[in-house]
Amino acid sequence: MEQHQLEQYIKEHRATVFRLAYSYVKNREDADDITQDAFMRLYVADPSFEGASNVKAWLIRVTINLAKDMLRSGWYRSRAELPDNIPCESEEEERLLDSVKKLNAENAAVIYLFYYEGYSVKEIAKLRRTTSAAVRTRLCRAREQLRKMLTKEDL
Amino acid sequence: MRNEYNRLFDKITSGLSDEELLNGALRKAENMKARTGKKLKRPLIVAAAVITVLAVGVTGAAATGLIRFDEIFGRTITAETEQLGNDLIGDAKDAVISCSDDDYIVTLKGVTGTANSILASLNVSRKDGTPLFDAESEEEEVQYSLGEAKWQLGNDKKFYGSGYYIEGCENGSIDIYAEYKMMFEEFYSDDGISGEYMQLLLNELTLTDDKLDIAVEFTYVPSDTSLRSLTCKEFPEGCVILFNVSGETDGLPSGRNISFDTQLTALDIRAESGMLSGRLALGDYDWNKIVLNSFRCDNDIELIRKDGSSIPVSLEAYHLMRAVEGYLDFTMELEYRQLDEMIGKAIDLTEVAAISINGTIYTLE
Repeated sequence: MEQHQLEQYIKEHRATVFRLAYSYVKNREDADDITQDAFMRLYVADPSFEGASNVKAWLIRVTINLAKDMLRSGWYRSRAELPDNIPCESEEEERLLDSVKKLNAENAAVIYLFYYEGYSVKEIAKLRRTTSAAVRTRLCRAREQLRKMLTKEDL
Repeated sequence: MRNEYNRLFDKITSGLSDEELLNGALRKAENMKARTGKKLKRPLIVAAAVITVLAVGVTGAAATGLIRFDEIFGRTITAETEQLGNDLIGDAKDAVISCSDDDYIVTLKGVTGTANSILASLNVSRKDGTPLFDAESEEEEVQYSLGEAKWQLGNDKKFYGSGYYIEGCENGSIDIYAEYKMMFEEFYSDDGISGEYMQLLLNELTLTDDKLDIAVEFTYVPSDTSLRSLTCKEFPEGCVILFNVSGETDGLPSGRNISFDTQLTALDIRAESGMLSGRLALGDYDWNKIVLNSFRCDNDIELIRKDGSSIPVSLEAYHLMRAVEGYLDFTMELEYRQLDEMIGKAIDLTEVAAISINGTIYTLE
């Protein structure tokens, strides 16, 4: 792959890759690391794509794998939690962020793809190589968890 | 919640500039190429050491999960999992399902049982005769929830459902998700995977003017205590597990094939997933000095039903291991690969007779 092609892909998809990674690892440093790795893999593997949506889907799948790998790694699990500074405008937003961070990583990723990226349940199932039923279950759990957490905190 | 969520995620941005990200990615690519000496074809695998697993035996105990379907049907059906299929097959004409919510009427039209699941046809309508939902709605996400409505089932036993969610109406197709939970069970768990619950899946849907006919399947999803523990006495040699190793690999020839005497200790197969546990003999290597990032099984595995049909599964390392007295215990998660077949269905484990690993079939007990 030519460097300018990689630059173009970075411009187009970096936000998606970063936010998806963030929904797994819940801190910017690790999400940046995963983002770099994802684009590194794109550059090295140089797969052929038929359209822009395929590049995005490829990057999403790789990001999910990288994030899972990181979460499973011994060093990740044994280290101290990294601080994170997301600028929240209100107390409510801060509580939502806190609740999002408490979500199970897989559920958080599914809700990100569904809410923010606007993928359908079927598309998410395809991206995550799982069943629509499993995605629905995760979505439902994530919503319920968020609702519970927010209610508990009297939002 | 979607709007609030999206506003929040608008603010979650990287601290790196495009240039920093590009340079970082290029630098990592160079390092990777220098390390491997060639272009990566399968980047996730290249860094892994390949370990051949030699199995010498398997032990395990059968699980006896109890499912109380009387909560649903108003008649007592309590059976050990393996008897469930026989107990449930047939009609449950006397079953009563009604919803105590003031707004809805739920009528049970018919029920059939299969092992581990129940298929029920229900009719849902509103008492005041108004349509259940607006099928023409252009809203991206519409939730019609029975919410906290208490469902009264036979014998006035209380049960609750989280209702049904109509998640989108697009080009005439309606995406609906509904879920039932057993009230005494732990539904959520820290890892988001385990937890015992009853799942209600919609099989068929017919929308008339003001009524919704649905065929739903109640599927029992077991907790960590396995629905059925399948074991075999003789496990195959040659299971390949890929280890991703980093840290101080003192004595470990990282990146090369390594053989260990290994004992797979249990294979627990559940309705929707499964776990494979095993034990690696550590040999002469000092595993305390090694960080195992991940590992995965790269074998061709299928569950074989009694009728000869098969269910391909894949294995993915999930829970890493701990070294105990010269052994390394590990657990891997099984994922069923034949997705179309699995949608809305649970595997009838009583029908699973054997497991095929890399083409060799092993009979299960």
